[in-house]
Amino acid sequence: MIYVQILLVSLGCLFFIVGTLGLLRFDDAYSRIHAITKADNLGLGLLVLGILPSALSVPQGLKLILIWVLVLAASATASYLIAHYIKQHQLSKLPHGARPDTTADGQDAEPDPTNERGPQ
Amino acid sequence: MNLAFDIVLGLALLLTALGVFSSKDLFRAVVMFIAFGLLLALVWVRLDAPDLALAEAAIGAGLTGVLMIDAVAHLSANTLQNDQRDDQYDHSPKRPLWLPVISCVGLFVLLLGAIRFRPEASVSLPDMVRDNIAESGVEHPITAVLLNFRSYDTLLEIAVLLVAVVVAMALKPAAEDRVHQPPPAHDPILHGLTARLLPAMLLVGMYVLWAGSYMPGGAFQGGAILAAALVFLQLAGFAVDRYAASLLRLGLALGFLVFLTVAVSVMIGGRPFLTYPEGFAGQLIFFIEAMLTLSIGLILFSLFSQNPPHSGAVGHQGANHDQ
Amino acid sequence: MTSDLWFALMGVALIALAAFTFFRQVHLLRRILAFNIMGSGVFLVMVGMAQHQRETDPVPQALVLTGIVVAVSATALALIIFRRFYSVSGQVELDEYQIEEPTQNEDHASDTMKDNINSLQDALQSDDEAPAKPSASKGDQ
Repeated sequence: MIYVQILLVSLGCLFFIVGTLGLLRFDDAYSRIHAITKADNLGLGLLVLGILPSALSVPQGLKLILIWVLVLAASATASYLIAHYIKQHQLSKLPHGARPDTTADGQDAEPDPTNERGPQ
Repeated sequence: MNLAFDIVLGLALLLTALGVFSSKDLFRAVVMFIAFGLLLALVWVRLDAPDLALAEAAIGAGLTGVLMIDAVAHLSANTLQNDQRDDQYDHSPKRPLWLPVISCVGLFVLLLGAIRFRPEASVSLPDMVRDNIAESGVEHPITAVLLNFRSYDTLLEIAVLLVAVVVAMALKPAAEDRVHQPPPAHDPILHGLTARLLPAMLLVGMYVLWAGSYMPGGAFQGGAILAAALVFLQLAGFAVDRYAASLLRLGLALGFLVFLTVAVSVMIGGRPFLTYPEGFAGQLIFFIEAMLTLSIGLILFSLFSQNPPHSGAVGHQGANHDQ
Repeated sequence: MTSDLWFALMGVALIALAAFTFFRQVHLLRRILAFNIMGSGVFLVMVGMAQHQRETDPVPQALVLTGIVVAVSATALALIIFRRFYSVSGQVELDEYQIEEPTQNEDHASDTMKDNINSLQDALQSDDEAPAKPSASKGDQ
């Protein structure tokens, strides 16, 4: 059992690493959202699944699952909101092209508040 | 193994703080600051302080982050219009470097010295707390310290919060009270999530308050969760602050008033200020805590909602540019 | 080396770095950020040093809990004051020689103090938010 758990947790960590890498490396906001949701959903799901057999009691296990469900709901909504905002303001490619110095910043999905001068 | 994890965690904390300090872009600094708050919550867990972790996660990472992002968005909504200012934002002025360097190094050396030559404690506070906790009326030591042993602190703290929110209200432009503000946009998905999550958030807040008498939790954490729920509600487009303004104002003062009333009314029985009669301490503490939770939640929410709305400005700005 | 001591040392480093930033930066929002982080450093030192080679101590933890809540209210108040300051003066920093620059809707000749009072009164009475004023003179994009 312990090996299965180790495998699951390692896989979950792998998804987190891949998701973070995608967040840092992808060009436009949509791809970044795509990458980060992989980390949230699959990575956290695998982690929870891996830890679940070690839960001391049934309520504790249920809480772990509840955490995952809540994160799923929250991240889905947040992704939708970010994507919606980008679509409304047509900002998808902007942060990358406009300011090459901050491409490594994963949070460029939102418009840059201080330095931004508009889409073009 | 644990120490190795702590060292990595501490270094991550330091690096995030460096990121806050050094990033050119203000929004990025704020995002780094939120990450800093989350890491700090983890640090509190490692320091065996789950109460602090709860409060930090809800306040340090949550509420402060929302406030800062709100301020940055407000700034950017107005900055877009006079962009000649942009260049001034991130530069450091041509000021002498020696003052920051000396203060930084001096503080560092002094604090290191203070840590190196730490005086021995003359009394052991944990022992004192443990000896007296049976009389305090609650089982959780931190709640006992906050509401019984050092209740002065808590009384004054809620007074400070009240003063802060009163000042914030005084600074609010009178024009904000007009009714013809555009209603906040309703987003169906956010709306749905809020409607489903809000009962859970309130339940968690109340549970944390209730649990505070025998395990980590209590008025502050519960209040922070309540405030987060209200802020969430406000951001999702429900104009909470306009529905019940007068009730809200009553709630702001309620915690302080109840606390003060209890503190003074025990003096009728010939007791010193802020002591609880035997046998009633537990009930009184829970009653005060419940009122404090409500007040803290409302105060923190009010401090958020006193800010002038700006989302309309951002939208207009984007629309202008798109043309 | 215990983890309590380690986190206290991290707190010291945070305080020193935040102090440096606080003096170096002029942008008020950055100063508020630095001030917050400095407070977190103080909290870390308090809890870490109280627990270093001793048992878990609820008293400093309770004090820090109070401190966290007061810190957020102070931050919120600082942000509100910052916004009012920004809407009145159009500045994001407190440099003395910059305040001398007249704001676009103000009388150039009057001295700084009077300027600020006037614009504050204007802002309190007017219906619009003050930062919208500079845009009025600039017209469309």
